[in-house]
Order: sequence, then C-alpha cells, then structure tokens
Amino acid sequence: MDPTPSPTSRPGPAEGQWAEPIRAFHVADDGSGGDARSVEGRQLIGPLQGFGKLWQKTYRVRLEGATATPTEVIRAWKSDFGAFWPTSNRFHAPLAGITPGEVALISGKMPGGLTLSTGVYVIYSDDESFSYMNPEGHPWAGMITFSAEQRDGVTVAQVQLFIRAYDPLTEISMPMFGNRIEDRMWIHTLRAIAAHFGVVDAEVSKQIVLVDKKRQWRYFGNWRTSSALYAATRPFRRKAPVAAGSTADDS
Amino acid sequence: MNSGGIGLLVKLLVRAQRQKQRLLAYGLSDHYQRIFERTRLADAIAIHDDESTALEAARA
Repeated sequence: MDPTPSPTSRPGPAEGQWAEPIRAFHVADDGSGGDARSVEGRQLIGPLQGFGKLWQKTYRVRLEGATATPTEVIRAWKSDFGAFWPTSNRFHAPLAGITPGEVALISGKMPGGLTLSTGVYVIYSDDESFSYMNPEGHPWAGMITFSAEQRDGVTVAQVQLFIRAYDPLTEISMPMFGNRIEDRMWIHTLRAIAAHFGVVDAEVSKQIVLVDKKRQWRYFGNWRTSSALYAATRPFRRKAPVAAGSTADDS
Repeated sequence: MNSGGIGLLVKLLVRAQRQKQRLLAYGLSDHYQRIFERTRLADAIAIHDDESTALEAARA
C-alpha cells in the first residue's frame, strides 16, 4: 500500500489551524488555578454578538536589534503567554498549550479590588500568529490576534483586538477606565515580549479605528451574564451549601 | 484564511448593514463553511449552496 496520501486526500495547509466549531464551553477543572465555573456552559461569542461599538485596536512593538524571527517570537509567546502579562492578571494556560480548541481560564483585578474570572478559546493558530475568541460574559465580544512579522528587516510583534463591549456596563466603563486598563495591559505585554528578546524600553505604538459606531441594542440583555457584574455582586451572594465530599467555594 | 480575513468580512458586513443591505455567501467549501460557523459569522451571513438559491433568498 502506498503510504503517501494522494494530493486530493491530504488536508490543505490551513486545515487544522482552526479550532473545531463549538457553541458552549466545557472545561474540566484541571487544577491550573482558574475558575472553570466562570465559563462552563457559556457560548462562544464573536465581534457580531456584543453590545458596544466595534473597535479595531492595534498595538505594535519593533524588536530593533533582536535577531529573533517572527516564528521564534510566536513560539516564545505561546509557550509562556501569561508570563508577559501584568502581574494583576493571571493566565491559566491549558495543559495542551495554546493550540486550536483549547480553553485558557483567566482572572484579573478590577477597580475596587474585585477579581474577574473568565476565559478565552484558542480559535486559530499558526507559526506566526494565534487568535482567541471569548465566552459569553467576558467583557469583550470579539477576536484578539497575536502575531509577528518582518518589516524593513525588523521583527514586529503585534496585538490586534477586533472587539465590542459585551454588555452595556462594560460599554459605559470604557471611557472611564476600561480603555486605560486595556492600553496598559497590551503595552505591558509587548514591552515584556521585547524585553524577553533583549530589547529594553521598547516603544509600543497604538492605532485605534472605530469600525462600527452603532451599538447593538438587541444584545442589551448581555448584562445578565456579565462576568464583571458577577464579580461585583459576588460579596453579596450567599454561598451555596456545601455537599458532603465536595466543595462550593465561591470566593 | 486567518483572523485578518474574518476582520475584513466583519467590516464588509458592517458596511452592508449601514446601507440597509444583507450579505449572503454561496459556493463555500466545507473548510470555509466551518470557519464561518466557528467564528459565528454564519449567524449574520447566511450561507447558500449556489448563486441561484442565494439570489432567491435575497429576494424573499
């Protein structure tokens, strides 16, 4: 038997780089420290399923003087994604790593000292980029892509968000503090990537484009499943009774 | 197609909606149909087998 598949039966180069379609998240608590309940049963949402204005935000850093190729940058980024985040945020990497179809649980500090728990779904990955989409409840509905490329002989690392606020509460918070938090997050991340490859005090550029100024009022009710609202009201909710042999820690 | 392609399609959809138009797709391979489903583009861009059924749906 010829072990070589025929060209027509061989999957195309893009095949396998996208995750399989899912509608709802199902995450086993793998002990990585994230709150699996924050995403369990939630639907995957894209830039069309959120409430707020649609933005394209692009953050870039040039790795001047570094010899790392785009592939090497993305390999390092994927292998230790959380290490490049600000310390106020935690990224609980999936055991299988950042590969299509994997879910990573995340937690982050909100104003007021509250902790927001949610997750991301690895929707796409190749040697020079990878993308996340989010579950319902995440402050953003959309897609975030991390990539690297050569420009004028210099490797450039980039974070591009294509997002709407998931719910009206997040939309209101954006001009107050949301935009500032987000800027800080991705500028920190790209500086950390640059520092990892020996580029100190790298300058991060930011480009913001308003793609759709219309709010999607049919998603106004998204506030009911907002992770931020869940975090804000957590201190006022009763703890669920603890069944024998199990835990119900809601803190 | 990568995430950049999804972004382009979403921008196209926004532009169409702004002009009170609908966006329909036809003739997509299984691979692209799955991408539309994965990214939930299929929620907003109806996929049809061929041009005639797409046009029929557009007229409906």
